[in-house]
Amino acid sequence: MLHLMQMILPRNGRRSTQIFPSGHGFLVREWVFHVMSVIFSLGNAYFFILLLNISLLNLNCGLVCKYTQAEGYLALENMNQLSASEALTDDENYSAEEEPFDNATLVQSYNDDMHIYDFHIVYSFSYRVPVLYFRGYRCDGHPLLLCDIERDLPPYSLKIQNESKWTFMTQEEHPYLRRPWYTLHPCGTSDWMKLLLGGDLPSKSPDMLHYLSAWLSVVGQTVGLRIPLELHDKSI
Amino acid sequence: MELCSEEAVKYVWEGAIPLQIHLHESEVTTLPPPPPILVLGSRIGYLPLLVPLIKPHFSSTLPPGTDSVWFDYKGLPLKWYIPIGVLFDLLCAEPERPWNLTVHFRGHPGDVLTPCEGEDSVKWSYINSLKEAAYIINGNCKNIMNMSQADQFELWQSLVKGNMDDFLRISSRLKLGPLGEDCMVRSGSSLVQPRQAIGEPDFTGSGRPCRIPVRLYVRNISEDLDDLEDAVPIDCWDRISYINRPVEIHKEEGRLSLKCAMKTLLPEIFLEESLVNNHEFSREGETVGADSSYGDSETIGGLRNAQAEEIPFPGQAHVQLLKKSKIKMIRIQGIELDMDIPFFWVVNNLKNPEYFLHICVFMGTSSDQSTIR
Repeated sequence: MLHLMQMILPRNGRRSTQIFPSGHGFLVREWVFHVMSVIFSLGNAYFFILLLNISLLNLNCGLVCKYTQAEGYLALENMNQLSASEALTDDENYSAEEEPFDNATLVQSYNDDMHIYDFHIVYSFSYRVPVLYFRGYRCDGHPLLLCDIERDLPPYSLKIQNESKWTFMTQEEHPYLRRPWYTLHPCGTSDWMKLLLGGDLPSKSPDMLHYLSAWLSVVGQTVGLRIPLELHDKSI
Repeated sequence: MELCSEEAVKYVWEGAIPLQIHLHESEVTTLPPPPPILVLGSRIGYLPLLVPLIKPHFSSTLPPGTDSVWFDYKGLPLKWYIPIGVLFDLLCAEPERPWNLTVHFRGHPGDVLTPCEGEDSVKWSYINSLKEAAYIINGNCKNIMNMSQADQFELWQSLVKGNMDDFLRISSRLKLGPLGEDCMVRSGSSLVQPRQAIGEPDFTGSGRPCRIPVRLYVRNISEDLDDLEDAVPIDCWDRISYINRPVEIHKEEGRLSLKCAMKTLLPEIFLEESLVNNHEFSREGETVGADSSYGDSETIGGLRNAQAEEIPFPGQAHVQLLKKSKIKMIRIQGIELDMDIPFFWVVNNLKNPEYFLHICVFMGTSSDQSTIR
């Protein structure tokens, strides 16, 4: 019944090392991922939703694909966002050492300043595009206030947030968890995606991996989440 | 039946719920405690818009601190972005008049309830919903984005003040209806061919499906409940299934009933009903004698929900739950609707001012499974 097509890309086990030394952004070191797709039936057409399953090695964060038989959302949880000052220290340490960190080192750096983020990608049936939902909390589980989150945003996002308080990033009900999460408004997504992909979206057999990685490369950056280049390589 | 009835729309706009609002006992600092306040809540309005009326009544007794107002009904925190009429239809199985609500000015439950920062939050929640509806109907939300500041202000004020004439005057410029069975927005000239969704085949001209903004709330009550007053109160939002998904209608479909639309939204239920041969809905339906083909997509007749055939219902748990269920009642704008009423009449006349049709469905869930099969 369910058209579940697995488009699992060769999981070659190759590890790529990605380091983002910026004070803003998530410290992501190694990614191994594979891609699955679920086909949604949309009227007469099939809509491909890609669920990226990204395992982040060497960091205690994991990505979980949460979907029922038919639909669900993509979850990237327990992402550690270091405060700017701490990230700097961390980078210095990193450059001073030859070896990459292991989990133990990172665990030691846990303190009250550590902000942890969960990201979910949910498909919007209204806008027919993916939508990013996220929430942040301290390591003691206390949720972050908007002002805390704003301090973690890259400067350009903070600027937009200040200019368009109600139409850029707001708290909305998570469509599946039914709890307040932050979300980026999707009303312009299809427009800028068309610009991004040159307007020649294939109508019959869309390359959804390409679509989703392009989408994530833009949306992710607005919250300081960057995706590894390898994802783009694989998507082409 | 005419596609649009100004009389019906007027009834919707004038609909109001008498509310008796109590201050939560934990926030009462004076003796005697303040009496509850009686206010009229517009069906199409939102609870936070009542705060300017309520606050002065309770302000002298409140403990020190800053306000973050929220409401509850029998302990259930009420979502302020759901219109008052919908909350009432959904949570009061048997209409309670006046409707007894509790107001809180402190201790906002941020883990379950999105905070409301006053009228601005409500206004933007409304505008964002309007944008969503416009996108569903037209394939873009340019008309909303390009609305002048003055129009935006007036549109919002017409809703706050319940001024239907102003609302109709400004909203007619948004070209969002009325929706008709020719699957077009009837205002003609401004029809914009929607941007193709990824993977959507090229629907040319009139062949493209018509999409209708619908928010569906499903509540389970006991199958053999005789008196709705005995329905178990909702203590947690997890007990209500919420489906935010447009209904898609293809042109080849003839006259659509509410039942047809419900089939696309809750195909599982009708599949099950065909199995148990529920006479309740086959009795008067236009497909009399075709009970056995209820689950057949031909019967549904080209009318499909986004992924009706493959994916019956969000959430595995719901599917399990609803497999033993049948629709007991459908309530829209306080009206218990006949399933054979033309769907487009319902959409055009009973929608809320953000152009979403809010449908409350009460499912009868059998406690004794042996009665099902």
